[in-house]
Amino acid sequence: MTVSSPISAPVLSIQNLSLEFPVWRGALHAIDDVSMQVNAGEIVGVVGESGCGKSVTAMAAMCLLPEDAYRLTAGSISILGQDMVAASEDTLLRMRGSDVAMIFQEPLTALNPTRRIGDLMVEIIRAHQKVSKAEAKTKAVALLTAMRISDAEAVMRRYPFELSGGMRQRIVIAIAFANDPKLVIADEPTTALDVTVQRQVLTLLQNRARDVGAAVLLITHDLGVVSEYTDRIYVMYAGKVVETGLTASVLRNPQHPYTRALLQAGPEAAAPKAPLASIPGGLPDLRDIIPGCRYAGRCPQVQDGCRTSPPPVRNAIDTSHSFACWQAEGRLS
Amino acid sequence: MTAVIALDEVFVSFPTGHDWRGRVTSHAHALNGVTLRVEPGRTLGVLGESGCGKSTLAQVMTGLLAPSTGTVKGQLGADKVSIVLQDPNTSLDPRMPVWRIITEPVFLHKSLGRDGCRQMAAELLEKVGLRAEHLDRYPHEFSGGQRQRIAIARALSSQPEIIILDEPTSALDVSVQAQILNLLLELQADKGLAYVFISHNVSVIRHFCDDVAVMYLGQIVEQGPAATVFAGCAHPYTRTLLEAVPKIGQGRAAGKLDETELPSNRVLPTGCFFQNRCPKAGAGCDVRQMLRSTGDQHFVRCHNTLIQE
Repeated sequence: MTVSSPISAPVLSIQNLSLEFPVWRGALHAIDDVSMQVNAGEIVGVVGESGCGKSVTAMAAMCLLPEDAYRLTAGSISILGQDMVAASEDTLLRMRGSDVAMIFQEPLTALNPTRRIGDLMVEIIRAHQKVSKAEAKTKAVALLTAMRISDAEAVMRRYPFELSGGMRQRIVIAIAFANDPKLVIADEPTTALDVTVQRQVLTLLQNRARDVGAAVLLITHDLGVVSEYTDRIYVMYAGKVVETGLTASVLRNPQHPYTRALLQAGPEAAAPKAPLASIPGGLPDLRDIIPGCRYAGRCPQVQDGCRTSPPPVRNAIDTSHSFACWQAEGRLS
Repeated sequence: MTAVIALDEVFVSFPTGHDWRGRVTSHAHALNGVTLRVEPGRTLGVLGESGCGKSTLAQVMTGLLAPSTGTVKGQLGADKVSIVLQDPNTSLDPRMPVWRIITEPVFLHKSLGRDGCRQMAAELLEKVGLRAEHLDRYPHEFSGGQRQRIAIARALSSQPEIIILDEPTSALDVSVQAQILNLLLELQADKGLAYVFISHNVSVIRHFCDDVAVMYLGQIVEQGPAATVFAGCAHPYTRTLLEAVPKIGQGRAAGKLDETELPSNRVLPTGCFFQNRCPKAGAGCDVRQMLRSTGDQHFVRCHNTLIQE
């Protein structure tokens, strides 16, 4: 399921990716036939509950999964035209941190606790650019200032534990943009933060990406965040993309029963004290081979056909909006 | 009506620094004059950012922490107040079977015996939507939502009148969160429990609570019935907080930024605690603000709201 964009060639392109983790007597099919595309200057969201394969997709795209822990069974990943699967370790090292940057969820574990912020940033800048220490330091101060950190010089001398969560995450973002990346993958960047700080961090991320024309893949489980900060979204369930399209279109007019259920489960949708529409059941066991739709076990509109053959990908009225479901739109609503 | 718990001008501060002779030189001021009441059968939501004293408040209410000054009155004691903590992965002992976990609060107080305990645990498990065959399993065999159900069953075992819920759903997915909130509402209707629901999630508080208290730097800045507060929030901080919540279908947020660093609680600001972040700060903000009624059980700690509107 891809959404074609007339603007430019994709920065990140994942085609029909299937990935499994070998486990005892079998394999866990973590990702099945996932296609994703992120174009230059776009902010693309990936939403889904925990265990649906959001982070694995991101880690696979960066080739950050431990080498012998997974098997790529099909598909390809390319970033800026570079085939990431075939790339050598040297190429990957050169790309990570410069062309592609990653922002992780917990900023305290992402920053080295034994090093001062300044030393860390200078090292990262000098790893990819031929500049002197002094120049790198000036650049680091500029990056921190762009993240609206007042008194950047003083912050450079601090250790991560001396800073608040929001401050740390802003530093992680500053580091991510240190070497002018074309693509930033942000894996739940604000889940550990308060709403006011979340707003600040995401707005800064958004503005920064706009300024330098970087593409952002924003992984989150918060539909509100997706709604406010992304252009397009992919909704994932149990290792598959179940619905994708322009954010406004998908959220206003959700086609897949899972997307609908996610939207209804939030307390925003319900009247005070009214029971919330939870999704009964849990994720299917991904060690089994599931012939039909992976959501069939929890779907209220399930039919016999859903369990036996994989659902077709259909387009909604807006043709850039597609979903994978057996049921035609009219019968769903 | 008599309150289940009533706090009167509660201050809590923790010593944070010592000089060379071990004399305390500085304090973290976690709670700075909190006055509130929890009525039987009602839910009080406590809303605020991290570091504003929400969890200290929970500890004071459960009696785990004595206030530095001020009084706590009401239904106190281990069998009257229960608590459900945020992360069920760490709040359940991994080496105890489920029936022991659930009956641990009453194990010493009631002489039920092993069979009595198991019987009681089985009943509680069914109340929270699990089954009796789960009695002998261990926490790691359950999913996050199921573990939180076990934690709720444990909280119910002493037949409390009030349960303190300290961010009970923030570690859970939205669909699981819906299940847990539904369960809590059912239990409340069934047993007439009072809840104190501590959360930073505005939409959950809006959905779940009868009354709400918004906290900032150890003070309650706005308090009242949830419907009143969310419909016509009067304190600038409450507004900042509500505006910051990302909403579905809202479209693009404007690129506007505000200063969001919470001031340190080591040295309390003079005057209004919120003034350095407040968009409306001006004359009159340099004195300590009092909680004042704006009518209809609605209290606000801001002098501006009383003049305008």
